[in-house]
Amino acid sequence: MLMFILRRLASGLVLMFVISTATFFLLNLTGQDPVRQVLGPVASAEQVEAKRQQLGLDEPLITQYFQWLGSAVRGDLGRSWFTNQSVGELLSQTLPPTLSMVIGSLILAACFGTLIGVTAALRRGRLDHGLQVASTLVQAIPGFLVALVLALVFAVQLRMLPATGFTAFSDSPGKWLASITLPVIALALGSVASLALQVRGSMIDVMQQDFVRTLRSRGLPERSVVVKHALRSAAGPSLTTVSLMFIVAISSSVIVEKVFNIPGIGTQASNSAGRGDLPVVLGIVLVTVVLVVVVNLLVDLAQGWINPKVRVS
Amino acid sequence: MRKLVGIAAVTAVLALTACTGSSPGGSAAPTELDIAAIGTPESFSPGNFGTGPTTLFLQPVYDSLFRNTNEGEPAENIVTKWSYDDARTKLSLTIREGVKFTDGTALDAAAVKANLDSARKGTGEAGGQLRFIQDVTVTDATNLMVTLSAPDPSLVPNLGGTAGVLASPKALGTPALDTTPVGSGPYILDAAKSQTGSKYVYTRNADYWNAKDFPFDTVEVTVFNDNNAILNALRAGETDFAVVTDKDSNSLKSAGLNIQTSPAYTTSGLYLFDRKGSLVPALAEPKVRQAINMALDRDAIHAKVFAGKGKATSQVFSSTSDAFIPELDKKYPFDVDAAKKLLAEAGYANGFTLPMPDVSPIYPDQQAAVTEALTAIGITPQYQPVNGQTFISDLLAGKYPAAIFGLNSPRPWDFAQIALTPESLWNPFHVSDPTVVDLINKAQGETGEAQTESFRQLNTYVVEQAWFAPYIQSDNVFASNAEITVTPQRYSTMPPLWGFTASKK
Repeated sequence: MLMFILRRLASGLVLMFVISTATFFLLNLTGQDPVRQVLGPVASAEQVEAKRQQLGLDEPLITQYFQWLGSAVRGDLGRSWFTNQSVGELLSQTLPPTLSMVIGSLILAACFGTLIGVTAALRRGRLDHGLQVASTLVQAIPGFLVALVLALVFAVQLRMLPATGFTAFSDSPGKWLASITLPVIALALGSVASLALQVRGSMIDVMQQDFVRTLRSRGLPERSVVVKHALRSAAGPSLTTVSLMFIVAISSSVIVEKVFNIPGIGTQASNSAGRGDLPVVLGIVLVTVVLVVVVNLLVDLAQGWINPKVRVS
Repeated sequence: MRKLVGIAAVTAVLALTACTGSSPGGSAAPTELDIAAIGTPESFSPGNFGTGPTTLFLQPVYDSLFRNTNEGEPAENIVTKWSYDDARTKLSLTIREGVKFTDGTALDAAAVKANLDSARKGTGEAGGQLRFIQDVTVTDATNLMVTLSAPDPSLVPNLGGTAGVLASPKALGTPALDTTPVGSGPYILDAAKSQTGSKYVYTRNADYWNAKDFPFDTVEVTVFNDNNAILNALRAGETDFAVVTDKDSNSLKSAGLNIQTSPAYTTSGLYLFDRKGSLVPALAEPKVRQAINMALDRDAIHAKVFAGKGKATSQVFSSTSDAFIPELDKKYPFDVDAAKKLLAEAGYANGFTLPMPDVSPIYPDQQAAVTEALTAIGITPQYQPVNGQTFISDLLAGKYPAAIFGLNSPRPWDFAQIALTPESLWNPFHVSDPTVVDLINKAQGETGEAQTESFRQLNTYVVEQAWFAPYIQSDNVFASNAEITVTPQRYSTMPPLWGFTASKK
């Protein structure tokens, strides 16, 4: 197990290196002059040149890359070219809102997706058919549309929940929960539907297997057969879906953050990439890769815990 | 079990509803002002600011030398007395006594000199407004002399804006000032509650010398990245004020919000930058530019594209300024045949191709109207894809000979500096016309009616030579909730902070 974890972490490091390198050089190919973007059109040529030297952008590209890499390895992700704010500080401010939404949406999707999928698999008939149709329809609705409708109905019209903004958990747990409820629902809806269909399919397969008939014949309560045994066997493919849902939720958070004006990493990534704030973009890329690697590792560990055959292989 | 789950769900919903923090309706005057802003401050260092919407981030923490009235005229603030010499190149200033910055440093003549010297070296538009200042000399603790290389008719009112803000001289030149302002203003930036790039919370400066003009204990400026989010925040009562568009104003009014306008704020039109003919030789011909003006049906554009809001015009000087001449709007009646005739006289009977940036994502209706106008007289617009982040810098670099665009309409002198001189930022091809230069120089040294007459002559010449093909001057539109009264300021992007008061009940 330890070797497995170490191997996955090592491959995660390689992934971070490859993606950050590719990002660095791709962003430098845009042709934008970041210094002119930073200073604006009024700055003189001398001021632009002075700023270029201050930011180290007069060095050859490969030198700039290794300077950044060397600092990043030491934990220094640099400073925003535009606001002079430390990238580390910026990430510590923007990660919590996004993670609140993404993790919340995964929990919601896991709970309700499983519940709906199992119900559909067990009940079959019209209920199953109806849930399948509903899930397919929900998946087809764009996430931003869901977000806009939720904001309009529950925040603007009914004033049940905030339309915009994020309150940190440390400031007020109740207001934190209120501020992420609608964004979490907007992010989770599509995932609930896809997970429900996934779980439904897996459960139908598993419930037809011999061991389930054996368990029933031994007089085990149906609830125990379904939850303790069948669901555990069916969980494998669904866990893989959860890790994919995480990646989708991270990228979808950009739109949801804009609709609800949540100062998260998605909005920061969009703004920074647009204006060429390279240190911030690279910091966000690194953090995102770390998150994906960690989530995939946790999913693999969960797979191993659920299914001993995975552990052995 | 199911009942327990249901009860828990209902309890959670009720708890969430109670925790939304929406303020109950009440008769007490509001103590907090919440403002929605698009864009973030470039920096809190004087001289590096812009002059647009980001002024709202600066006004809570900084005093400015002057305070402009609602009509945009300078009035005393930190400066209590001022006068020019006859040549208008020496400006004497007397400073209010007893004012201190929040770090305890005295705001005296030396502090003002330090700020003006620092701001002149700035990289922002605010620094650019001080370019005629040659030297600043301190006479004593409350008096100083500003020497100009040439008269600047807008210097004093611009010193009532971001060009004249005052930071503590101890903080000037330090990197920390970019993100942490140290001023003498009515509020202090609360770093603990603020988040760079998304929320700026200002709490009252207990030692401020003019607290009576600022009734709110707290000012919170929240950065938005999406217009719909701003509209939702306004409708949900989560923000008190925002700049909105004309097309949103009706729905906001029906949601109970107050809508106000600051007239003739932006001039939209086809900006014919390449008047030298460097990229498109045809644009060097005045008859070609006049033909383009006559091809535009301004009344139809006003009615259909701008829903009748704003003012149809063929002038770039603001209709609220003395340089504006109503009769000049009759110079280019909509006449496609006459426009074709002008093109033929200029040698372009078969038209020509006009490369322009594709602004349809931002101005789809305007682009459609301009396309129709140009193609009707045989000019083929060739729209090129645009990078949103480099659009402005590409325009300023002279990448496009013409563009559908909107420029602010400030004071006549400021507009001349921004767009009409060979060195102007918005004259990217550095077109130099002796008549224009002479009139600008003449206005520079004049005051009162004589100066107004020079600007009117300049306006007339620019229209007759068809330097631009404008069609609408749009108002700046603001939305605020009923608890707040907002008083706009002429020539200013945003209402000043002292223009926000609690509504009388």
